[in-house]
Amino acid sequence: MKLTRILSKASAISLFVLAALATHAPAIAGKNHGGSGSDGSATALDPRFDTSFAIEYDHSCLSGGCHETDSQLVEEHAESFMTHTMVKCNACHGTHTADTLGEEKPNLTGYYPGIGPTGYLVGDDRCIACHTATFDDPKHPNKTWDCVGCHTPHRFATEQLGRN
Amino acid sequence: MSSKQFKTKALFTPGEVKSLSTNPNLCNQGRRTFLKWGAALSSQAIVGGGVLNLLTGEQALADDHFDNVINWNYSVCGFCSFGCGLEIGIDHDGRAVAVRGNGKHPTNAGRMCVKGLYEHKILNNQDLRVGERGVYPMIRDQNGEWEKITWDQATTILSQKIIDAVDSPLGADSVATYNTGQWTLEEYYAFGKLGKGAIGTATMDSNTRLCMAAAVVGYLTTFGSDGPPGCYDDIENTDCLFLFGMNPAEMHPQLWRRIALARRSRRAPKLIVVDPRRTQTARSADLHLQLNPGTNLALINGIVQQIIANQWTDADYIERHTRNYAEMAATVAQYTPDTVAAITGVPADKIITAAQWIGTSQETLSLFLQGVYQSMGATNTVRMLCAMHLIMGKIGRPGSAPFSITGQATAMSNREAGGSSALAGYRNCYNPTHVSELENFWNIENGKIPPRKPTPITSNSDLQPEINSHVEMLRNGELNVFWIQCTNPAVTLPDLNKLYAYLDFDNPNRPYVVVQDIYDPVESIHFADMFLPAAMWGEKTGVYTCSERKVNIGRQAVNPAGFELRDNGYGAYSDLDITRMMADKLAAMDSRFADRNGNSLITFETPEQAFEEWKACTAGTICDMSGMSYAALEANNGIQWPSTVEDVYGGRRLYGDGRFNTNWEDTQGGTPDKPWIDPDGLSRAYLWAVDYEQAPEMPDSEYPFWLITGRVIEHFHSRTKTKRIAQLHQMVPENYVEISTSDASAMGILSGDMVHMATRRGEIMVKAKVTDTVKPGQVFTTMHFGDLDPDDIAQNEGRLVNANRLTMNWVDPDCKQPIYKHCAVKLARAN
Repeated sequence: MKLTRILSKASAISLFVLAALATHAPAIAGKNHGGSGSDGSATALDPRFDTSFAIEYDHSCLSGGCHETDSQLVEEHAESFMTHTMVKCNACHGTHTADTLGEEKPNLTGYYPGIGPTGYLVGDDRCIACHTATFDDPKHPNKTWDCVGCHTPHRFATEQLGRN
Repeated sequence: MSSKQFKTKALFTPGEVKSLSTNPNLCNQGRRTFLKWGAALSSQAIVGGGVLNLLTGEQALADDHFDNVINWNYSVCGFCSFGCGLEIGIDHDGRAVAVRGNGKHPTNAGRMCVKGLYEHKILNNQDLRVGERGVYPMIRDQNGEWEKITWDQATTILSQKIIDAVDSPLGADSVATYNTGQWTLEEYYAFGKLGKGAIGTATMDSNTRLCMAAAVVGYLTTFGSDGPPGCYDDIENTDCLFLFGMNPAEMHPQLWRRIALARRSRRAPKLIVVDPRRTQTARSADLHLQLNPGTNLALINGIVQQIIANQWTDADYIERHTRNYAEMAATVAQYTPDTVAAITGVPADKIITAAQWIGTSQETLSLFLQGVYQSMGATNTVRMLCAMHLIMGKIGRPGSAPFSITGQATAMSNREAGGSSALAGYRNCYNPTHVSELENFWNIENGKIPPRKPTPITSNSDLQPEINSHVEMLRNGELNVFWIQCTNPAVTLPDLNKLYAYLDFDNPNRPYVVVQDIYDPVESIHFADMFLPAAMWGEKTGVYTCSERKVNIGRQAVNPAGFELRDNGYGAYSDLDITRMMADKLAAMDSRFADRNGNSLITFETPEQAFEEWKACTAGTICDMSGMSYAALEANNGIQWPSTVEDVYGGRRLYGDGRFNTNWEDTQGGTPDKPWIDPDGLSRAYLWAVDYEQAPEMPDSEYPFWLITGRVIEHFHSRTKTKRIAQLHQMVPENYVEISTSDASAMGILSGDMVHMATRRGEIMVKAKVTDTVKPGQVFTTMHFGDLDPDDIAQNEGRLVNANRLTMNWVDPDCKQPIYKHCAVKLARAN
């Protein structure tokens, strides 16, 4: 019984580790495609759609110990067709409004870390600023102001990669 | 509160926050608090931010919502040349507070790049990161300090300066005007009338010279006239995309989006990219030809050699529609793959593959930009790109064209309307019939328009003594007035240290310098005697011709800056209004500047009236716009020229019938003896036979690296507008230099280290970015950053950072465009 419990615990731990690895795969900056996404959907970006330059040149955000530490974010960003078309962080997030919170603004040169992050949610208007046609399309299934309900943030694709 | 707004609500109760702060171990918190933490961390992982806001209940929001917008104003983007349709959101106070893409516009289908998304933030003082809008005309007082004057005073002073200049021994050509690719077409047309028709100066140019002069001259001397033959729809109709010296992923992001979508389609065209750097565009290519700087012409000659050698040509098209094939073929025959590989550094097998893909694809679309125009052999490379398409017959049909892309929103409009170096309506200044036709249309004395090619903006007689320019005239004290409009030469001209010396207030030969611009300060204002505040994009109505010859309309959304000051004689005015004020004042002060009836040359009062006159001016010309109207431009989301009353939408592609504008009566440029003029009047294109020449400056033992200059997606040209936008500035707040991993290692340089760079002309100091985007032996820096404005000086702690302190003032002999893209540089880690 004791051995069974130990094996059971080991299995659970193994499953947890595997799940954690699947969810938080190493950051893939510099690669040109990703693996499977956290939602289990097939997400491999066609090798023709390289994103490595965009990732490298998002250095204001993805270096210096800041957002590159969020491996899921980097992974999804790297898998996105929008990243391939050079939609970088500031297109949706702007840049830090740390002054809003009374903090020192971060150094954004990407060469050394600034003062910490603030948290930066993006409203649906930021999506609609470019995707009015999609939103007005009668074939588009959802008419609520809830883009990220279907489109995974930073990857944006739904069922078929590339819909963005 | 609308459903779109965020509710700012604290996730944790004050008690939970206190408990968390005193005992951060989550295991010691209650179950509810633990679950909240899980949810918080998950959401933060998604949005990529921190957790502070969730603890405090504060939330940093992007300034991006549309809740205050009460009206969306139809417009077009004012940055690059792609011509994206957009709408400007206006709030209750009449302020521009948002931008969104026009989903019905076929060019961009609603998508915007990051510059366009924040474009409304360039208008209002309260949105500007630095500086402010100029709203007062000003002149320097005796102490060199700015003094406010009214518009009436300003136009009187400037008119008198112009009259004095015309009456001086140096004559009308001592009045130099240097404008832009950012005005509306109506403004170019009006200013061309003022400059050529009233003042009569041939010292007119614009920053489009720095931008796409090679395309203009390449087209003109091959097809007989300017005008890109293709259109954007060719992207979706081609089998092979040949991108030569361009990086649309950063420079024209919506063009790149369309390329990417086309690549994802069933047709899946091949992508060949020619670029010395591994850009985003190059990394996505099927074939990247990473050539040595300055070797474009050798490469294109080598590709044409392969096309001919493998008979991927259209003999019938060559016979019926071109001239000089035999000489051209004989010239390129020596450019074998091995020979070209030795010059360019591109492996021979890649050259062969590229030629095969170009030659055997059913349709091939060549797109080219600054990597061609601002490099050695610029005009000749354009000529050979055109020749490549002509000998394959791949032109004038869906999916095939040699298609030059332009840099600025209305550079094409300046080319058409003649606001600087060209003559209105693609007329030829050497053709007396064209000139007198325009003089009669303007109702001015015959002989008023200078019958010669205008003087270009820059050259250096130490390097090219045969070429004159505004800068040479500055140097020699041959200018009395230098009127700079909507452009920033103090950042963008090459070899700036010399220019600064010529413009220095201690130089007794300096002219009276007028800067007409939208902000204060702007780098060029440092050298100005007079400042004229101008309105800008969003504050005026007018049309914008984009790269595919499509004319879009941008409607005025808000009042110009300082509108409330107009009753007192101040406030910013549109450049059209300023030109009209000057034309009226000159005509009133001196009848030599009036028309035959003694009236001002500018009789229109609104942009639409100006456009109607312009339409009449173009009737029957190559760039005929007589079929357009403001209403039709908006209803159709743009119309391409030529557009006649009989065939409004006939301008999709040029040269579908194989007839070019090379007959003497048609051609846009040159005297009758020029080689592109068809002596038989058969409208055939001319094939140039041109050889590669080595760049005037190559790396050597003293200056061992190639310096390549270029751009980033966040900034536009001299950052006059983009440095005001915090969301753009903070992503790329300062200049930098890319150095290859191996070179950096050899010099002990790490990313972030300060690097001293020097050429034979100047030196700068910027941070290093170690990357393999550049090859060993090459470095790259951006052209955006000035170092004269107080905010830049403070940020850079006084360091010089402007790349144009390093660049070489050597211009292409045909198009007079400087070779910004390459020169020799040395660098070292700074202490």
